Amino acid sequence: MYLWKAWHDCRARVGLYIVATVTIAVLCGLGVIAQANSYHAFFMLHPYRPQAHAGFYNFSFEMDIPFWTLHGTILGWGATWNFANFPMFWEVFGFGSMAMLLAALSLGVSGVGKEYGAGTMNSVLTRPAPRWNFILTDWIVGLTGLVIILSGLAFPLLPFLYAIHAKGPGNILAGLPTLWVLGAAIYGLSHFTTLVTGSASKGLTLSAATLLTYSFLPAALHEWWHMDALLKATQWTMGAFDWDAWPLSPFNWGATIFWLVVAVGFLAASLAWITFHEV
Amino acid sequence: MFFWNCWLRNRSRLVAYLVLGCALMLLATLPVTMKSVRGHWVWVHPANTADAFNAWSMGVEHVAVVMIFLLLFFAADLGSLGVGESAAQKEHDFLLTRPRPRRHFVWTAYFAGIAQLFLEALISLGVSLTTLFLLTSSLFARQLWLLTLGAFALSALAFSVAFALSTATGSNRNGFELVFSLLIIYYAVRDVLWELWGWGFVGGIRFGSVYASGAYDWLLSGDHVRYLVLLLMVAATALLPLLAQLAFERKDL
Repeated sequence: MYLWKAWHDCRARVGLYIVATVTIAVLCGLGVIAQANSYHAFFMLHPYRPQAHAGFYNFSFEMDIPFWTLHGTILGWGATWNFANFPMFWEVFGFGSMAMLLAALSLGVSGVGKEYGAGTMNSVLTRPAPRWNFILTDWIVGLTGLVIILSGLAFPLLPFLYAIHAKGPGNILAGLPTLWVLGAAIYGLSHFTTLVTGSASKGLTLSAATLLTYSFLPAALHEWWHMDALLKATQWTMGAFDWDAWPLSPFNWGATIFWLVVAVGFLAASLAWITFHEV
Repeated sequence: MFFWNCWLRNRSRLVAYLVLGCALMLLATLPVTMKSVRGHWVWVHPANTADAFNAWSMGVEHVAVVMIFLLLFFAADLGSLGVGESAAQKEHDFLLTRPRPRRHFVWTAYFAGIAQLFLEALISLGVSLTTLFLLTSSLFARQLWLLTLGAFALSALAFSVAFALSTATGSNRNGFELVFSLLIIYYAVRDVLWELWGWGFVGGIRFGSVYASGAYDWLLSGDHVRYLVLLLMVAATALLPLLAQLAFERKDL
């Protein structure tokens, strides 16, 4: 029964965010085709065509655009061109992280904690189900929605990759699990803060403030106070989203496990709170 | 009376933001006179006017970054309350049977929020000015108050957007979420069109030789203050509560 309520409360938002992520993916897919065409035209019109000087042009191509040079030979010009290339990286880890942030925060504050503010918590907690059941149901519904929303950024790109004769999905899918896990951690944060404050808007504010502090404070301490330790720690946790290192390490185990632990920590904290907190 | 009600409802939030603002201003301004002496960072009082001016320039740069984040966040948070919070608290039955027109509640809640936003900006500016003055024993405040004015204008616009949306949708959460969603969609569309296809006109406005692609660009673009952009922001800020009023007056509550 509560499963239906949890789904009912968030389905409009899930639908909206899926439309948004798929739209962004389609826009970027069109951009990939546009770029593939422009580079194809450039190499075909150039007097020293890559077929004649493949080694030289491969080298200069790699030096100029290192993101695009991992694997996969496409379009027939001989240059290596990674199909998990710049626009897709930028889309998944630029807008992907933004979409993840918004969706995770939005779904997190739709949890059972908002019932305090609505004055319906007594009604919910007197249902014949253990208290932890509400939290786990929230998490199942929320994370399912989040995974679908974020997948909307990557999977709609596959037809566009096929259109430019790419040989596979490349690294773009390798980035998704980290994005899901980081999303789960942020979902956990907003779910927990909503539960503790008893209000969706207060939970949202507190979560957003926490995230801003997490991103701003280490950088400020580094730039202004010349203290590096906190920045290094933060950078390690965001290693999977490191622009420079990413093509070399498409899947970052350390950061993924870290965020998984954080997500589980928030789940445990929410379970403890609803179990032991006197309503 | 309703003004006092709005003020009371948000006062704990205001106090929290004031404390946060003061802490952030200290974080931003205190290190401006720090220098590395034999491998250690220590505070060194500026020896001459040029050093003091440099310290002020650095401080102003830091404060501008902190101020814009602080005020924008506070504005989005505060704007999503107001009449939207009354809907969330199910107070409309009581509120709307008072002998006042609906527009009275909209504008009173709006001015209560703007007043709190102004207080936040003023106190943050005061803390940063005082700290920089104490550290350098000199005052070069022109750019700082201009930047604060611009940040306040921009945050007032963000406040108006959040306020209008939360009033129109009848939910404080919707207002908060919609503002952030709109901002992200705006930047996403702008960046997609610019990066992938070179269409740079979206979201940008050309004023003579200045191309402003964001409302805050004019503040960071140099010494020239572009009052036209400021006026546009003020006009939009004034228009939005009017739209909120129209929506609220026609709403079936």
